[in-house]
Amino acid sequence: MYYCLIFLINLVIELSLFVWGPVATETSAFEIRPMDQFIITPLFSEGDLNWYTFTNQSLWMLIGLIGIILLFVFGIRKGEIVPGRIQSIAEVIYVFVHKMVLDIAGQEGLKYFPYIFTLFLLILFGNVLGLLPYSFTFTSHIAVTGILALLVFISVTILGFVKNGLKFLSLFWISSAPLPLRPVLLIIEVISYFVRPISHSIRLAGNMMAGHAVIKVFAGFAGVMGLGAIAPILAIVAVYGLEMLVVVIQAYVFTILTCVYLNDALHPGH
Amino acid sequence: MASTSEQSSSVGMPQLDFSNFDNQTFWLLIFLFLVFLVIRLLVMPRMEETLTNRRKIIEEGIQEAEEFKDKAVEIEKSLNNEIEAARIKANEILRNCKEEIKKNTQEALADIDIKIEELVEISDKNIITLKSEAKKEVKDLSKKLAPEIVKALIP
Repeated sequence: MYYCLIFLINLVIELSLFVWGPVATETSAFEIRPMDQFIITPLFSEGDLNWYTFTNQSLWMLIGLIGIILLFVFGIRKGEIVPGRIQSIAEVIYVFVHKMVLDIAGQEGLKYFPYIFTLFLLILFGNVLGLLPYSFTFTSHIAVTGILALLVFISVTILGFVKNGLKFLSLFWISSAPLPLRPVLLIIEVISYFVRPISHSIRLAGNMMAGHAVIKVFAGFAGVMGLGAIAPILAIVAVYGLEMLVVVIQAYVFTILTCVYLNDALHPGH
Repeated sequence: MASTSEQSSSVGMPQLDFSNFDNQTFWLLIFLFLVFLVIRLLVMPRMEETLTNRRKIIEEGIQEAEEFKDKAVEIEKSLNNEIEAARIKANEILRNCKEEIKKNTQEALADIDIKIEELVEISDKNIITLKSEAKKEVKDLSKKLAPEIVKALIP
């Protein structure tokens, strides 16, 4: 239900981008380029991007790492029994993910909790830091989310075969369905299994990109409207509030889907 | 508008510029690994320690509270027993008192009955003597009066 709402909003955003895109390129006075914020540029060197060049994207990954260290290493350093503010935040996040893994993947899944927690934290910090003005949202890049989703996909598939052997294939052969239906379901299940990394990654990147782009579009309106700019600014506030929700929910969705895939690998029999 | 430094802006989506995917992958893997190291080596041990400590303290507190509760229940029970015993005792005392009062009343009533009977007897005797005296007087008077009346009737 809620996800449908977000999808609809994103659809509207994309349509508006589609409509405004040509306008932006035609008139030079009224120029909105909402996608420029996603351009990756080298920070300390001129010229071409090599595979090792430190870019603005790498910088915000580094800031994310520092944020994680500040919150989760210095925030809980004292380890008080009655936690303070920072420690409470860290503990709530930790326990939240811990409980999610336990609820969905079971006791066996807890072995993989550090990996899932790593994914969640990196995505969460990437998303939230991306909401700062002039920042760079590295989770809006399909390359980043694609790698994350592929890592999940590949490791979960390998794990499924290692843990269950060929019985892992029973994930596709649904024994609870009537026999004539099973070949049809087999095709559907196989396709949906291999679509997983694509939907997993595009969902996150698309949400991040759309939200930031629409903020930029409204900001562009505000820049040329003079006193009338109050309307787009109010719209930015509204979209920003929605984005605050979306960034956390998308990190949550990515993590919970990882847990679901992990559970499929650990317990392939439906 | 077409500037050399922003050559990818004209493409539309910078996300679909595949030329820097190797760079993105490289840095992502590095930071993923660093975050994992931080979590595995620094966050999890400390967090588990804190949470375990807290759970232990809470469990100890709960256990202590339960012990106190048991104690309280025991004390309440003994208190109730004492109250029950006291009530029984009070009832007994009350019953004894009632019986004593009854006995005393009966005794007193019996005493009074005897006295009343005595008084009645005495007054009965008095009445009899008074009656006989009155009769005698009437006789005397009639004896005295008879000649007078005869005298008066016979001129």
